[in-house]
Amino acid sequence: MSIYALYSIKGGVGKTASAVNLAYLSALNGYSTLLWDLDPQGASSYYFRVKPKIKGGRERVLSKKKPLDDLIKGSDFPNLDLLPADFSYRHLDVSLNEKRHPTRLLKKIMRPLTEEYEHIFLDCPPSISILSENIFRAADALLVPVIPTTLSLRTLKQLNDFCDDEGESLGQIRIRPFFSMVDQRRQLHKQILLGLRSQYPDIFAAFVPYAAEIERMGIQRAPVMDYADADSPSVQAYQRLWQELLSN
Amino acid sequence: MKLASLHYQLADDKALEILLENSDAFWFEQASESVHQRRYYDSFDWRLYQAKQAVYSEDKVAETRLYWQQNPAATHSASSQIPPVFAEDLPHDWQSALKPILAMRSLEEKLSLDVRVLQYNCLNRYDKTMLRLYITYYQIEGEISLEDNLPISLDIEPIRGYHKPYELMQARVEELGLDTQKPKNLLKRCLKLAGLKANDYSAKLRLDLTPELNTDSACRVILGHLANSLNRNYAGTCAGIDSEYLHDFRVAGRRSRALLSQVKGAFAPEQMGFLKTELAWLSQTTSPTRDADVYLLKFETYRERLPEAMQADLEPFKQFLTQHQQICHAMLKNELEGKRYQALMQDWQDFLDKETVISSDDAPNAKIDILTVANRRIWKAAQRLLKTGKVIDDDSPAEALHDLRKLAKKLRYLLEFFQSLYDKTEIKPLIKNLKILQDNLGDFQDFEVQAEQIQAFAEQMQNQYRANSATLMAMGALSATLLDGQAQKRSEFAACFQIFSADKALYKQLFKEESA
Repeated sequence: MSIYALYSIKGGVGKTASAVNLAYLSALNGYSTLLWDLDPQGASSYYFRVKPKIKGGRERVLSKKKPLDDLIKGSDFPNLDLLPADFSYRHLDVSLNEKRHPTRLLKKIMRPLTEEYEHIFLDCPPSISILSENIFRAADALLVPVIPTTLSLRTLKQLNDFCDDEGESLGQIRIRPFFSMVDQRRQLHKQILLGLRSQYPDIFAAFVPYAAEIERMGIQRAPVMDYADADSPSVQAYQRLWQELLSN
Repeated sequence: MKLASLHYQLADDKALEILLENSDAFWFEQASESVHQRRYYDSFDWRLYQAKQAVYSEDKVAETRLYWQQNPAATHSASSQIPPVFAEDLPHDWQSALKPILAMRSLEEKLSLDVRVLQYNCLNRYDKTMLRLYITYYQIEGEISLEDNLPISLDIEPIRGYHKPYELMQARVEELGLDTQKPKNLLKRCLKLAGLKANDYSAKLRLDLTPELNTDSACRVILGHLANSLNRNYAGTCAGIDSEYLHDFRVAGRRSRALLSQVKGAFAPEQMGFLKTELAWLSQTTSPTRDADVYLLKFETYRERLPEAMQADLEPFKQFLTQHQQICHAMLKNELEGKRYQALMQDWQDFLDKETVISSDDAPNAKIDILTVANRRIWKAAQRLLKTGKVIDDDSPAEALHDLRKLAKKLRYLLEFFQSLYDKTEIKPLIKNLKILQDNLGDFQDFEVQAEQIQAFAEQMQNQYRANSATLMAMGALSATLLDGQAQKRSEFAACFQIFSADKALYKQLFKEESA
């Protein structure tokens, strides 16, 4: 069982698209898979045509007495389920802060799900907060999309510094960056792509290109693999990313 | 709470229109239509069908899937590369249940169906699927007009977290009075429509003789049945698909010989001369292959008789046996495809087809009713067996037990030939108890023969440089354990004979008094 968090301090870097497509590929390959949309914007839920609404809101989700199981919705794809977003998630930090162990709750309430699913993907909101600390403790790996730009790199450094500072208290979390929205026509993207590999040995060799096809996910409301050609660069990129994730 | 899939069978598609009716909250959209082939497999003698199991494959676009219908409520499936031939070719986790049923029998395709599946998705206003409906039409291959007679399957597959459409569908289904309790046996129905009969073959003698029938007519019926059994097993024997074709082929031949020798005077000697000679030839011709089959079938038990450290040393012996079997079978096939076998079966058929008038001097029993002859023959054979067995003790030579085995066999044949003349509840226990004695005597002799033969094989392998000293030692040790097994069977003989002889009064009551 593995929990992967699609995480970045910065917004608009391709977290949701990657969470949706990787979860889809996991399910396609026969793994029972859950995608938890933790972002109050509910984009993952939207992509899967599921209403971003939880009866009882964030308090229901954080309840230790009622299982998350009842909130799960089946997607239109075999082996793939979704735990939808809710707009009240925007105040998850507030609720977490009121709990006894505010940074460990997510791990605890997710425990029953780890028995049912082989892979869980968390689509995380862009921030560094108490919720983030919960995610760092619950996940086996942080999959961090990085646009090859200076600002995006800066947030990756911030994340690394934070995790270094927190050290052992975060457990065995692995940070696995991958390049996202790469435009190979741009000189800067090319340079950063080459340069960063030496600094981050854990970075994925596969990268996700900037493609209109991926943007069309919002119109199609489906993973890119569901409507794009199997040999299109976007589909191929996510396939490679998935294979690499699976192999180490 | 997880929702369960629902399965229904519909007599026709009239109810579908109501089921697929759209509402304000959701509507149905046809998502796909696919056609594939379903192939049902079973052994030649319908072992799966008899055990109320079914194994079938379906050729889907992406892959071929194999299904095991364990009972009406449980069907398992797995991806499959090639059609299964033996139980060993089935998915690993099915084997513990299906191996004991199929044993050494191979699977063959029994029936093929065209399967058309329509998938409907129940959508909400976001075009999200909330429920799936599968409507499956079956059609026997090539029998288009029969489509209407086959049930239509309706499967309702819920989507997690979407209770409302599921509950509504359940209500609609209930309103229509569809029954989900017991899905009808589709295979049974298809077989009937295709004009096929499950259980159309059994190695057992299924005869229905009437007591008043003349002995010659009754024997003709039995010989006709046995000729049919030979014919049914002929192709499988020649192809060597599994060992049981030849086994049943030989049994039919042996039974025919036994009938001719045990029920004398039913036909004139000149009528049956050819059959006697040719059946002896057939028995002789088929023996080497059957012997090799038996060694291979028993190989696992041979291996288990040895200490674990020696077991691997037996592997070259298995290779030798496999090759030996192949050579024997090739020779057998050659013989069976030759003119002599064809002539035997032709003459046999000719004999069955035309009844010749014969004098009572030539065939004194021909016109006596079969019950009288059966009583007489069974009582005589039982008496002989009882008398001969009674004097066997621990000091009797092995030959005495071998001779007793032959007598037991003769009695068994007679009981089986004529069992339909008697009350089933009386004759079955007699056969069962006789079988216990036969098994003991059979094992006693087999252990001895096999111990000797394995030594002969060892010598042959040594001469051909096909066995090292470890293999020869393992084969020697195996022979020794087989002789131990023989000694064990000897010690059990008295108890087995006692079971049989306890039926003496019953034999007397059933067969003697009526013949008096």
